[in-house]
Amino acid sequence: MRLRQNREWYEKHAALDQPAEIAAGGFSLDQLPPSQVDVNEADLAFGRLINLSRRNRGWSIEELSTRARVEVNDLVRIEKDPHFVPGPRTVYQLANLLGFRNDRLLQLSGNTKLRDRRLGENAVKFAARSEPLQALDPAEQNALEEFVKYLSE
Amino acid sequence: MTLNLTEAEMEALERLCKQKDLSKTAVIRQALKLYQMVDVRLAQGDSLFFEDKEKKNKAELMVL
Amino acid sequence: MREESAVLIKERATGRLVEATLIDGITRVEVEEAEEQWRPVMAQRIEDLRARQAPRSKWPEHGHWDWRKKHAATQGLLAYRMLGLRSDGRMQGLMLVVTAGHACRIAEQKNKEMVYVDYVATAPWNSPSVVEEPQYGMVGRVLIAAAIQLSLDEGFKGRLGLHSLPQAEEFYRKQCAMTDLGADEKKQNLRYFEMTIAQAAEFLR
Repeated sequence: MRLRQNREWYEKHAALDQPAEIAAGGFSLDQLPPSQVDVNEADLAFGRLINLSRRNRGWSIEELSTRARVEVNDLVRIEKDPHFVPGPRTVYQLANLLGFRNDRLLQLSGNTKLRDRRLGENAVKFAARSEPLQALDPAEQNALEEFVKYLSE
Repeated sequence: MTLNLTEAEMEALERLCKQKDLSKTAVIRQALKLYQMVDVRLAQGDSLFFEDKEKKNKAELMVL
Repeated sequence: MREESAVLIKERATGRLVEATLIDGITRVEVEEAEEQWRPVMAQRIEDLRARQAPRSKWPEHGHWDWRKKHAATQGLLAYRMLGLRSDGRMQGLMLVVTAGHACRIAEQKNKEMVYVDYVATAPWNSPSVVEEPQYGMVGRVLIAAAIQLSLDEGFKGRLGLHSLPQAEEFYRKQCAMTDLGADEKKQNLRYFEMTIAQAAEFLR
């Protein structure tokens, strides 16, 4: 494509031009205002999984941070913000510490595309059956164990 | 390059030209762009679906 | 195929028109170079805003776009074109357009083909949400003119569509005189803007 506007066109537009933002195309996901966010169950699964796995071991966020050698900030955002996508290193450290398959955890965390249909289905089932409450009730315990089994096999 | 089209293909092409307000060359180019885009996505392991919002059903389109 | 056009943009401090090059089909190396120049300026701004605890609405809305990823994902696809506007040894603006798969929505041109602007942004030093005194103006106008020209070349007669980020809505509504079709729930509730053949002709006139 060649643009062939004459000088008059540029002069006319220079006179009309006001300083303005011009960005079009879509928010970066981590900048989305909460009201505009579609949260689907699968998005919730990663945060819930980390939250329940941590509490199941009786760890605080700080403790998990120390053990996994990942930032506290990252952990807070992972557990609270369904759209936050942690870096691959953070996911790798968590997968290692908690005994999950790194490839599945990368998909679940949004780092790689969700390719595994069963993982998606299991994630939705897990998110729907768990609530981030204070203590794990037996149903949550079950949901967590079942999903963990799938993630580790 | 000469393109040999059957009568039915030619009819379909002409109908698209009219509907889309495009020349024959432009329609063929659009078709090629879309075909390539679909092919690349399928090769990456994606699927192509048609969704009927009213009936809420989805049908996978098989592209061979 | 790579094509270059000599264009002009406005140096805001003096109001002078300065030479720039519009590149259709920029290379991976050019995109990487642009990201290297843009990223520190944007990161610094976000750091400042964070430190000042400025509300999210004041943050640059395209702070985390990664043009390298967009370039890599669309490389080799006939439907996608990435354009850059270069001046003063730096990339002043980038735009990714797609020329297939998007249909017009305005009644008079419903379902007709168009050029859809997938992403467009100016360099952070030209952006009023990033710096107090933006350096160059007209970057947006030249890129929109290029998108219209592309639409003409493709046989789409200038028809154009895009989803504007909230801070840029005024630019598309007032400065480009595009039709505002309202918030689109399928695209993060961003407002969708479309240009008719007549509006496009008027913009290039």
